[in-house]
Amino acid sequence: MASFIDNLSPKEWEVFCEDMLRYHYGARNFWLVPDQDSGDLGLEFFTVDGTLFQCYCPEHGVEMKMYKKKIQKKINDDLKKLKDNEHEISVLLDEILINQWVLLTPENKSKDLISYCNKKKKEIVSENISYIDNDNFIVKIETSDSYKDGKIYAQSVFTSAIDIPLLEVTEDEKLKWVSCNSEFSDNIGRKSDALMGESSSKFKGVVVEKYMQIDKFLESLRNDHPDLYALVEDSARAQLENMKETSVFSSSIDKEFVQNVVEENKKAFSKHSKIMSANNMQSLSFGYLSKWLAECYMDFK
Amino acid sequence: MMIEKESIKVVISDKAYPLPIEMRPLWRICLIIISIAVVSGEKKYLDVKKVNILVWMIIRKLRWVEYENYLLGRASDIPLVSVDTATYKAVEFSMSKNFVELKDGRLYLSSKGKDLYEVLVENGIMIDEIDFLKKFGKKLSNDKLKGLTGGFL
Repeated sequence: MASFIDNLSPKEWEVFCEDMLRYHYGARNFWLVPDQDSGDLGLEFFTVDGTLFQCYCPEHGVEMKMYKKKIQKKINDDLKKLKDNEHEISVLLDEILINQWVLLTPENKSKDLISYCNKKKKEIVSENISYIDNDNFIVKIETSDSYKDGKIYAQSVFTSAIDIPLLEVTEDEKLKWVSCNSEFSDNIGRKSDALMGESSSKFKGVVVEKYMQIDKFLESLRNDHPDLYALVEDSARAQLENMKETSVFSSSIDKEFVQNVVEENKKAFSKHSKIMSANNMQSLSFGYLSKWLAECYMDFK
Repeated sequence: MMIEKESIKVVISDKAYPLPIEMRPLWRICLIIISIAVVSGEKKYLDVKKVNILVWMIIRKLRWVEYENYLLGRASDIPLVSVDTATYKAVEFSMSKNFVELKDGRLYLSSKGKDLYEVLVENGIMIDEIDFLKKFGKKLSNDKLKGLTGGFL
């Protein structure tokens, strides 16, 4: 069976490494080198103990010869950048003297790569780069096993996408809810008529069901994950505020309007997709619309 | 009755969103105070991590049986505990209002904090929570704490 790490994409591997090293080194000792502004100078992270990190997740299922070639090329290309970007890196590091360059990869499959690293170390030392501690410098391939606590932590971050089972609502339960919640139910009925005209009864049924689901969902979220609950509620409030401005331009209120609100909600809540299951995310879009209709945050006049 | 489509306008209400009671700072400050006062004994200080977990527990009345079973070692299943930064914020409020003092990872109850605890007791506020803390608060050992948080708190 493939391990958790085997299933990570190259981008996910990078994020996993960042979480792992941040935990291992602590905030004060760890720097991420952002790449949005003219690249990252060939560095992913560096740490106060004098380590430069690069992450690399080669594709699976390649033969050994190709695997070694890919890793060697990565090492070679990135080490070259140490000299090419000497001045910029030196400014970035301030007074940190570098004693190791590490390629973080899911596994090291070949002893030849250790020899290759040793060969590259000598080449770098001979370059006499100002921020390299030539007497102690090494080039090394590491896996997450070298950072055990950080690995466990990063894994827990990745596997903790919240997935709260949604309430399954029967027709009887819907009827019961309608009879016990006359104010909200009347609000939904009135607004469904305004939006859908004569074909409003099906829409009303859907809104009631979605309302019941999101009500229960938010209660569970608030109970088990209060920080995420606060984020979701913030997003909902911001989205409502946003609609206050855009609704000025709505020329007609109809099915299309409803679709637009749901689509806009989807976009607004998508920022939580890393920590919440797709099913839970989906429930928020129509769910909040139902909540706004029932609780009169959204009305039609 | 159907409204004429052309005349319909969307109105987004300005009414406030309700803030759940456990998110209200004063409520949470009181939970912090009773946790330290009841569980710490004579010394009147408690590890900030323990305060965080105890506050998490006393907020969730419906799960008290589950917490009780775990703390008393009657169940091996570890109850869910998640991140709740509102308690950390309330700790900061408590410090700035001089109810508690933070030193070496411990929260010390100040004389003002002790006074607040007395007010809560005299007025019969948070009776159930204080009772839960009296019965089970001291059972939250370092091992149980680590079990609940996985050592990540």
